[in-house]
Amino acid sequence: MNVAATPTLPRIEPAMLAQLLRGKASGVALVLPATAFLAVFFVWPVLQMIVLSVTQQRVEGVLIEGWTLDNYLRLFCNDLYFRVLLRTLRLAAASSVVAVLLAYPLAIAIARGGPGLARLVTITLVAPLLVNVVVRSYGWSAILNNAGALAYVLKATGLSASPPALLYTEWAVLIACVHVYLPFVVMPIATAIGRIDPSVEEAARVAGASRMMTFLRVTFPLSLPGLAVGASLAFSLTAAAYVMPQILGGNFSPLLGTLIEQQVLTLSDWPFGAAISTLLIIVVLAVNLVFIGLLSRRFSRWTGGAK
Amino acid sequence: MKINISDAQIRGAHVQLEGLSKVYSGGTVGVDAIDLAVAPGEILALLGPSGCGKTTTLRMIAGLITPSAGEILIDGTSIVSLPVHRRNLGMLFQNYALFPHMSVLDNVAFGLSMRGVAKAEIAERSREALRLVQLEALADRLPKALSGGQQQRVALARAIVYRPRLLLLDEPLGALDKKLRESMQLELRQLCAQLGLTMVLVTHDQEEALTLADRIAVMRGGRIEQVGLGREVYEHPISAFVANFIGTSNLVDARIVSRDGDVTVLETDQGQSIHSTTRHGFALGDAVTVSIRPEHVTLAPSGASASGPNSLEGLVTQAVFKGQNLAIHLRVPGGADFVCTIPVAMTGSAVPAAGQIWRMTWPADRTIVVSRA
Repeated sequence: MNVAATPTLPRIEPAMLAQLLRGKASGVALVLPATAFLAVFFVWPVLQMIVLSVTQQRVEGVLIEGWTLDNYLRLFCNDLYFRVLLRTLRLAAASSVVAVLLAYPLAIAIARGGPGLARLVTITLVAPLLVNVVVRSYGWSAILNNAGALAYVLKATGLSASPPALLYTEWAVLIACVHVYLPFVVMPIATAIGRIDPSVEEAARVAGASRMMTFLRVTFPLSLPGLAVGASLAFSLTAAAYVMPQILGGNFSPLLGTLIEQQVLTLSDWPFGAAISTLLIIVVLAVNLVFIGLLSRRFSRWTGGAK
Repeated sequence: MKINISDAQIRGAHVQLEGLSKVYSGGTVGVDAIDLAVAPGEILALLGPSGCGKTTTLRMIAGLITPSAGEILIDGTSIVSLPVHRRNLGMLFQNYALFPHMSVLDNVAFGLSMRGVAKAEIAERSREALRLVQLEALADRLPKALSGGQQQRVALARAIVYRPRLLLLDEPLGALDKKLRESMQLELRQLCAQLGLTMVLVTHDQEEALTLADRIAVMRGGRIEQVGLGREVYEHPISAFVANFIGTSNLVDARIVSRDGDVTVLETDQGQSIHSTTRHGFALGDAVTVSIRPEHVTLAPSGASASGPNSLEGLVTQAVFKGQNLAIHLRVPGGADFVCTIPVAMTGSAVPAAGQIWRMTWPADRTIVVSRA
C-alpha cells in the first residue's frame, strides 16, 4: 500500500497511519535478514564470478589487466567443451523426463491414497535425502559395478549372462540422479493433484471417461503447474550435480560440474572455470524459462483469468 | 424453454434397488439393505440428514462407490459390475465439478468425445444442449467466468448432451441462493418432464424435495424410513422423525386409551386428552407420538369455549413475524412447546403477543398418530 497517497483520502486517523507504517516496517524487518544474507553470500559471489569470467590470467596465475571474451570463445570453439555441455543438458533432460514419468503414479498415491499410504510413500521417497551424497554414490557404485549386486542378481536369475556395464557410464549417473531428485518432482505434482477437486475427476468418469482418459484429459492437464516446478527442479539439480557424476560417471563422461572442478582445483584457471560456471547458470536458467513459459502458456488460460 | 433434442422422446430409465448395502471397512454401515424402485420419467428425492446414507446410495447408482451387497437394476439389467464410464448416466454435483481448464463448449462436448462421436456432430449437439440451458452465448467462456447458476446449467448441459436416461443429482442447488434455487428447481422439473428423464435427487432440504420430486424417500441411519408422494409423506408421516424432518410439527408423546370406529382417543403424558380420526396401525395402549402441523392450529383468546375435542391453553412465549405468516410459540402447562402459524392476512385486531394466554384448537382429522422417535 502506498502510504504517501493516503493524505488524499478523507479522515485518516493518525493511529491508523502509525499502525500501517508499523505493519510495513515489521514486514521489512522480517525479510531483511534473509535478503541481506543472500545479497552477501549469493548475489555478490555470483557477480564476482561473472566478472572473473571475463578476465584472463597468465600461466603463472597473475591476472591480466582488462576485459576479454576469450574464455567464452574457447568454450564454444573447443569441441570437447561443447560436447560436455551437450552431455550435461542431455542428462539433465533425461533425468527430469524419467523422474516425471516415475513421479506421477507416486504423486497420485500420495494425493489420492489414504493417509497411511501417503505417509509411507513420502517417507520412502525422502529417505535417500537423509544419506550423505558421497555415501549414497558409493552405494550405487557397489550395486552397479561389473561384479556388483545388480550384475549378481541378473546372472543368478538367468536374466542376463553378461550384464551391461553401467558403472562409469551416463546411465549410472542418470539412475543416481533420478533416485535422489525424485522427491523434488513428486511433491509439487502431488500438491497440484491434491488441489484438484475429486468430484471433477468423478464428473469425467460419469460422463464416460475411463480412468486412463480421465487422467489424460483432466488430472494431467490440471497438474501441469506442479509438473513445471518438479521438472525444472530435476533438470537444474542434475545439470549442477558434481559428486554423483564424479563418482559414478568417472573420467569417460564428465559433466560441466566435473569440468569446473578440473579448471579451478587442478589447473587453477579460475577465469575459465568462472566462464564455464556462468555458462551453466545461463543455460539452466534459459531452459527453465523456456520450459515454464511453454507450460504456463498452456495453462494461463485458466490460471490467468478468462478472456 | 424450447426443447428440440432431435431424436424421438428419450424415455427415462426404470431403476430398481434391491437389498442395496454399503458396509465400510471399519464396520460402519452406510446403507442398510434398501429396496427402492423409480419409475421411468419419475423424479425421486432421497431426503435425510447428513450421514443418513442418501449420498452413498446415489454414488452407488453412479458407480463411484461399490456396493457391499444388493443389486442395482436399470430396466431389469444389473449394472453393479459395470464400470462408472459405461453406465451412461448423467450426474450433477453440488460444486458443479466443471472442468476448469476447458471452455463451456468443451465441457459440454466432453461426454460426446469420450463416446467417439464425429467432430461435426459433437459441435452441433453440444451447442444444442447449451441452447437448451440458454447458455449458447457463453460457449467460449471458461467456467470460472460464470456465476454459480450458470455453472450448474453448464453441468446440466454436460450431463444431458449424451442423452442418458437417468440423471443423478447430488444436492445440485445447495450452493445457490434461494431465489435462483427456486427457479432452477422449476426448470429442472420441466426439463425432466420434457426429456422424459428419470431423476434421482439427493437433498437435505425438505422444501427442495417437495418442489422438485414426485416421490420422496426419507432416509435415516442407512435405511428408508418412509417413501411416498410428497404430499402423502407430508400429510401422513409414519414417525416423529419424518414428521419433523419434512416441515415442522408439534410433537406430543401420548398413549392410545381407546378406539371407537374412526376415532382414536389418546392421553398425553400430562394427562390431556387428544382425539384423532386419521388412519394408523397402532393398537390400544401403544406409546405413540401425536403430530400436529403448525398451520392446522387455530388460536382463540383465552377463555373462549373449546370448539372441538382438541384444545389446549398455552402461554405465548414469542410471536415472530415471517412475512406471509405469523409464527406463534406457546408453552402449555406441563412443559410442552407448541408452534402455530397463522396467515398475517387473517389476523384481525387481536394478535397474540408474548405473555398472553391463548387457546389452541386443531381438528381431529389433522391429528396424525406416528411412532415415537
